[in-house]
Amino acid sequence: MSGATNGEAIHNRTIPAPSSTLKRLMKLGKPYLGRYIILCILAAVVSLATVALAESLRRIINAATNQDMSALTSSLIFGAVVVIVDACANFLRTYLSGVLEFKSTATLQASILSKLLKVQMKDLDRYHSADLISRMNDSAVVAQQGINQKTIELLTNLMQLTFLLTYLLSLQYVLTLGVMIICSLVPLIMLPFTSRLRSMHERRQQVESTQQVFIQDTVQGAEVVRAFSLSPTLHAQFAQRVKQYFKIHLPISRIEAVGYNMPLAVILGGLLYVLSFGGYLVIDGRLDVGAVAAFLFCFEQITTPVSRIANLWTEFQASLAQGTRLFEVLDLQEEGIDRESNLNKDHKDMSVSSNQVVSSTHAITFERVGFRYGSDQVLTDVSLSIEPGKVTAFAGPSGSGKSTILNLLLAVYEPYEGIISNGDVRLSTIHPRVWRKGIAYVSQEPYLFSGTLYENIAWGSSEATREDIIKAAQSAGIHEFIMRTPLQYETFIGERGLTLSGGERQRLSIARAFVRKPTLLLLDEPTAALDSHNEGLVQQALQQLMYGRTTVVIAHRLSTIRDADRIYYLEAGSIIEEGTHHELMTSDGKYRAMVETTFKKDNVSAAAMEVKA
Amino acid sequence: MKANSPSNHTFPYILRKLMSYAVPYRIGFILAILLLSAKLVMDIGFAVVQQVFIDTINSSSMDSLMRATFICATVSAIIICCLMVQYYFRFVVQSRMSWDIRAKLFDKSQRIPFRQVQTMHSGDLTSRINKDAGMAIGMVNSIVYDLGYNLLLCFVSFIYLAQMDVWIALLALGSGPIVFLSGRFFDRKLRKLSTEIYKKEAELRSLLQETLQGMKVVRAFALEDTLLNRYVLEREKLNQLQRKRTILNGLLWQSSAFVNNLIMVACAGLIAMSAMRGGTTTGEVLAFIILMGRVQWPFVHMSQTWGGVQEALGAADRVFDILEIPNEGKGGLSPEPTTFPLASAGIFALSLENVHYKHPSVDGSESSLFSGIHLNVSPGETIAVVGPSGSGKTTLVRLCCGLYEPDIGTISIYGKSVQDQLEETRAMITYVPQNPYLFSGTIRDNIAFSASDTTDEDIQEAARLAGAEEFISKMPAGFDTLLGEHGSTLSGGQRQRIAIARAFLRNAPLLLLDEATSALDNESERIVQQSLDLLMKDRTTLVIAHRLSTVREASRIIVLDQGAIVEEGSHEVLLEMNGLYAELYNIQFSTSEAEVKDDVQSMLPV
Repeated sequence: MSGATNGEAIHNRTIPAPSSTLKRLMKLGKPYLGRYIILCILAAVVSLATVALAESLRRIINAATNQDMSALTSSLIFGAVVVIVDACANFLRTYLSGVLEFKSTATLQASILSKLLKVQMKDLDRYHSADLISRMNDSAVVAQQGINQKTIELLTNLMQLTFLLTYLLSLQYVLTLGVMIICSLVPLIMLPFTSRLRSMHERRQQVESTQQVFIQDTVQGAEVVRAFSLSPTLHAQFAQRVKQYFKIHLPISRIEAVGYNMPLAVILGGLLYVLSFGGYLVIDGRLDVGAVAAFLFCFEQITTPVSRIANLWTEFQASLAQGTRLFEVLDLQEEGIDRESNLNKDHKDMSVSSNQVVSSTHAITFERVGFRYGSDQVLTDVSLSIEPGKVTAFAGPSGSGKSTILNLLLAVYEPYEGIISNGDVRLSTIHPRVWRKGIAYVSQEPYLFSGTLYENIAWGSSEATREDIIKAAQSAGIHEFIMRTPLQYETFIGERGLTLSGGERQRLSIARAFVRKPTLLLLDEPTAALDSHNEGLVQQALQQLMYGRTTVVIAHRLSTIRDADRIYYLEAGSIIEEGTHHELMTSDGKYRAMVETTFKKDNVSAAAMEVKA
Repeated sequence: MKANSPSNHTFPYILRKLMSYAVPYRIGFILAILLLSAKLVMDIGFAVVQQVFIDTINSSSMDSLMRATFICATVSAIIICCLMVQYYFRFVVQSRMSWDIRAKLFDKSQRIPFRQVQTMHSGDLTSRINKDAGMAIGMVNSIVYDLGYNLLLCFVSFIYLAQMDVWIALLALGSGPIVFLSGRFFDRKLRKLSTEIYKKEAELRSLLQETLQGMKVVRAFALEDTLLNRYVLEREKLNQLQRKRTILNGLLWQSSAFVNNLIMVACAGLIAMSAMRGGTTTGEVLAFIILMGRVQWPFVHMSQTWGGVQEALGAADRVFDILEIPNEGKGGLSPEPTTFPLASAGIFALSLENVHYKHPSVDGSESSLFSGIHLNVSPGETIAVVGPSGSGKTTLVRLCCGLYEPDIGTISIYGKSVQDQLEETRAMITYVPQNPYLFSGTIRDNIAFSASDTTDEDIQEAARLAGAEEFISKMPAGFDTLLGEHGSTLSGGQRQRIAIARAFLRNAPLLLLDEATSALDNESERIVQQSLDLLMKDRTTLVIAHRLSTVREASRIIVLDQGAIVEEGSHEVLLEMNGLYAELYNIQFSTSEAEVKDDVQSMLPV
């Protein structure tokens, strides 16, 4: 769905408190606790090494001042050892935290994808695929970094700070206390900006993902874009969005510019404090110069952790903002959750309680089923029965609710009211994924994945053998075509199989349905997008597929529905007429009117005259 | 194909190209560079100030201590303000540049030949625009600011240091390149690896895109686990690549830091020894050690930044691979809207002369589709194109609107060559493809997208003519109703009517129509047919016909078979010839008549 709709969604959503987002982000890090500890230990080693390096330099200076050659040698050796330890520990730390980051991000992304594969379709319909991708690819990374890298870095720097301050405290406590107070000013200065920055980050990401939606749409619509010379218009729209982006980006940059440099102010302040107050103490005779020198050196070391801590704060706001975007998706309701709660409580395991696939002996019945899409009442009070092994057809004008019935049967939608059952089992007690095992679905525009021809058929069933797949291809009338392609079954087809013709695509999708060996076959105008030549081929393949199976078909073509065992005629979400083609034609109702208008242009009356004659 | 196997551009070339994006923001860019001097003052000043202070302290002068403190405090405040402004300009210019290069890529993606776009996954192209462009620009910044600054810092520190002791300064400086060069071992590997990483990321994006856009099929066939596994598997491959990169980066970073620390301790030892022999003060020793760090750290930073540059080069390669694909058509970019030479006599509305075209097939090899096709369409004619599937009907239409370029021969529209004046000729065409592509956005935007300065009345009129007004007005927000991805919230018939409304609004003299077969229910089909008839009126039309009524009313029918026009003439003439057309007619069009007969029979009382 477009960015604007998302904007609406954002608008209506109460922005969760940062603490809850933080808590949830932290929770994501739980499985990696062991690694965090190792990393913290390494961080401690690195911090110690930093202090030790300072100490070794202090000793070198002292040795120089005291003209002590042996002390100089030992401090040089000490320094060398520290450098080696530092390098090793640093490398290990970089490596481990890098690996941890990729791993945890990958896991998080996989868990979002698996969530997206489970959430209710009607919720998913609200998001544009590019928006979801941006949440997975951009938000997940930044959010995960927020907990791994940033937290660990924060800890590391805090630790480093503690070590350095303790060391300094041992040198001179008055100076150190002052430094500590100055250092603690950093977070205080930035605090007032926090909530503003976070909401701005969120809005900026929103604009960015809208732009991604726009880019993806344009790239996928390459043909139309060219044919209509849209590029100037699109370019202007692109620029418009960039403008929007900068409207938020500039204030963020301003705050960040202050935020990133605040610590410098503190550092310079601290340095001046040490030099002037330390100098005062020295002149006063309460401190020696060497101590001030060592202090200064250490203070240099402090600058890094202090500025990092302050910058981390700014970066952390971005992580929190991205976390919010992430959790919005992760909080979507999964399909089948409601269903589960309808199950017996003692049967927690779904596969045990509901290994009910479509029954081949029982009818599927709708009892007073209603469905709403948003505020639109799409189906009202629909009662019907789909007999096993028979062909049931739905006819009616567009928008009458035919596709919704198919979606309900496919369990991607749940009825708003009423009951759908198969025999005496309610559909609401069956997990959708179990239910769908017995179903094959052939849509108007076949959706193929980039991959080999073989893979595209094999998507139908994970258990299919090579023989099954070849047999399915033969039954679907696509085998000869496949054998003519250069790599045969291993031929690679591009994005959505667009390199194939419509008929070839549809026959592939029928082969996919064959492999599935379904009990219930759902056909959504499978021949609608084909020319008559291809339609003939596909129709043949379909006849084979429908043989002996419960079939539900939506069709506008007379040839497809004429032979159905039962036809339901829908209008505005209600069943108006039902019966066989013959019954409906004799009853002189809406269905007959529809059939007649269809062929008015082809001179029904003339044909009728002919027959009469 | 070129775009799939990134070529290695040379570093200076990439840098020059990327730097050109800074030109519009040169003031901010240069300002940011100049303000860096504040940082330089601070970094050098750090050491100098400390020396001054320590020597002041040693001389036990309270007054000069106060004065020094005051001066330093003022300077610090100024420096910090400068740095804030610097930060702001640096990053704003950076993101301006990134968006500019994205805009350029975006624009380019609409101008590269359609044939080439078809061979790329849209996810790959999207990923290049979104991700790689930003990475590439980030590189310019790290080169200019980090590398440049560090080089300068190390130069200034060296001069300062050399004033104190030339030999040790030289030692520190000499060790710098060792630090830097010790990291260069990893460059080529890093660049190659990062290219692979960006490629893998784009692949993952493509996979995600397909999964999300095909969600219903995924659900219906219970592909969730399979796809999730595939994603995890591919993601794991990315992980492996990233792990390799981490190791390389870790080695690069730590080796530079290690060499640097070692040299620092060694130099400290040397200066300490020289102090023992007398001649240097404690303050000098301290300043020396700090300054030595100043000379050396830049090398460490440079070494590390250079590694980052290698990674970004991988992204830049992917960006320039796209930017370097030649534009479609030979003419310039978007010209002024031209007036159509409609009435000029003797000019064909559409004319194909000796057109040869080879089309890449599924396996990537090229097969000759058209070899020397001729077709002349006079203004006002309606030409119906029929032929078996695979005969090249859609390709013919795509050739006519310049989506494909003929290998030999010319196609001209109202006397203008499509290849030479692409934009001008396209302005005279309305192409209505079989599956209308809708953008996410409002209905109004989708109708008005190709015509600038249209009024609401125009849009409503177009919608009315297309038979779309009724369903649009029933929608909650009317013309402002937001459509889902690819117009998913509309039915097929509604989508088609919006596409027809576009055509009405566009009001171009030549209509190329890929007639929808019968993806519509009968009611919508009737409306769509009526509006199409209205649309074809007064326009020159080339229509890929699937409907009996269309072929009957066409002024001429051409029959395509295997890329050649095999028959040509009116419906009656062609039927009498009893050739391919008659055969096609019997399969395609007569079935509906037979059906009607059956139905009428079934209607009759038995």
